[in-house]
Amino acid sequence: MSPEEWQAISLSLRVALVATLCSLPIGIAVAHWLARHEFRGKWLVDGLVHMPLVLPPVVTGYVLLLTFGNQGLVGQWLNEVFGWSFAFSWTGAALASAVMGFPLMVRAIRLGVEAIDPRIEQAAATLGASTARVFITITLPLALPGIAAGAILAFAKSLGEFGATITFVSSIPGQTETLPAAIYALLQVPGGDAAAMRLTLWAVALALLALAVSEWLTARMKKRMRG
Amino acid sequence: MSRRVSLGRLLSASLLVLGLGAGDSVAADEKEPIVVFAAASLRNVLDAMLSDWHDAGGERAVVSYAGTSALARQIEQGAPAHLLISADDQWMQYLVAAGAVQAGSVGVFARNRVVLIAPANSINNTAMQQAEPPPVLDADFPLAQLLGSRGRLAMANPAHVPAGRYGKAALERVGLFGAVNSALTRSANVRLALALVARGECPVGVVYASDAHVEPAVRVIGRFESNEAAPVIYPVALVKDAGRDRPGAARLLKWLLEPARGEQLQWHGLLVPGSG
Repeated sequence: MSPEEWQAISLSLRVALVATLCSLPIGIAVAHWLARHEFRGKWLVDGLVHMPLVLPPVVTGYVLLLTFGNQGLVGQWLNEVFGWSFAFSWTGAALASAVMGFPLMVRAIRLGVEAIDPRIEQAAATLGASTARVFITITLPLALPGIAAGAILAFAKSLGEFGATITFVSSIPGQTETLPAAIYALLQVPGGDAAAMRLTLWAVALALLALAVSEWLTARMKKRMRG
Repeated sequence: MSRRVSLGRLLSASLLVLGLGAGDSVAADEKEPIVVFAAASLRNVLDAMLSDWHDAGGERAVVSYAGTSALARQIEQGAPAHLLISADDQWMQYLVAAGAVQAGSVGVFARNRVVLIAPANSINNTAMQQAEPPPVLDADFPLAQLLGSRGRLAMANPAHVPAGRYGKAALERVGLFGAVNSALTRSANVRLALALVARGECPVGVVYASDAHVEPAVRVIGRFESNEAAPVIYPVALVKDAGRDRPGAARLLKWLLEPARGEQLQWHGLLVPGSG
């Protein structure tokens, strides 16, 4: 494997890891909110969360560029106030991956929260536990299988994210050229097939590994719950 | 062979279903359209030309637009196309070598050139940037200065996109590439690079003149001397078996290469083959 290929793989892993860890707290909060609260306009929030799943990834990437680019509404502000810039950097790739994986993450965690009997939480509350304590000691541990599944699904999705990333932050080697972008680049030139095939096998292996870990975690949690 | 024919039937059947041939009472065999595979950047000009071709009594032709590399790989795998217009001479030569297109039919559909652009409303206006016509660039052009410390030059990826390759070669010829090599956006295609400059995300960019021509939010601030050794050309060729089952395809190819098409090419910001 060439240094360039390894660079693409390690960058993909870093982007996917950061994207997953940073979006996880938000994912848990949104999933919990959707699972436990009824409010006007819930369908709208639900729809917005699912947007990246159903929009063409190129559109999501373009919206990110319009919003978080250096000239974008939010991007300009972040740049002026904090000196942060997502444009053409690996943090931008992580942002794109996080947004694309978000619906999958929220769906899995929401199912996990909904599976908890609300009477357990109510019982804890009647015994004097605060809302925060109920959440941390009851809801969170019981929802762990869903949270783990959601995080790993988002991680796997991040590894494969292509359309939004390449539209938002392009594909700069070492910065934003992730595994799928490197495969795409290799397929654009005559004779790049062999290297593309090597990277494809890596992509398949990493995706399978992530899914296997997710299955294993879920099974273990279920067992522990019953036991 | 039989596989290719059945694929062709399948495609025309699906086109019929899509309504392209709906209402035709004539048997499908006689009304099968000529299928053209063309580089995505040629959409505007080719749609206009085929409308002319049809008005002049030409057979019905449908176009599948995509990136040249995708089209070339599909044709290599026996896609039922009759005509290929590529944005990249390397891919055309690859297909000729692979025997997937007819070597004797290869012609030049159009030429293009790369230009240096900036956002039309750029506040960074110097007298030089407003010169009309834009100056021919040389090594003294303050490109690094226009980029600043954090700006990037919007350009398609030179590693695999033809527009990027031509842009890199043009910048290298005038000795400006070294100054910007580490600040390229390496976009997936030239239209994304164009959008980055149009949106003001990048202070400068290198795109085709035809791209700059259709985007009012950018303006050309520098030209490159034409490179006769590696001109930007759009080669066209007949796909391997096209002549046999589709004589109309050869007629369309000949018609596309007539000098009379030059007006449409220029209208869309392209150059006539053989000009500089």
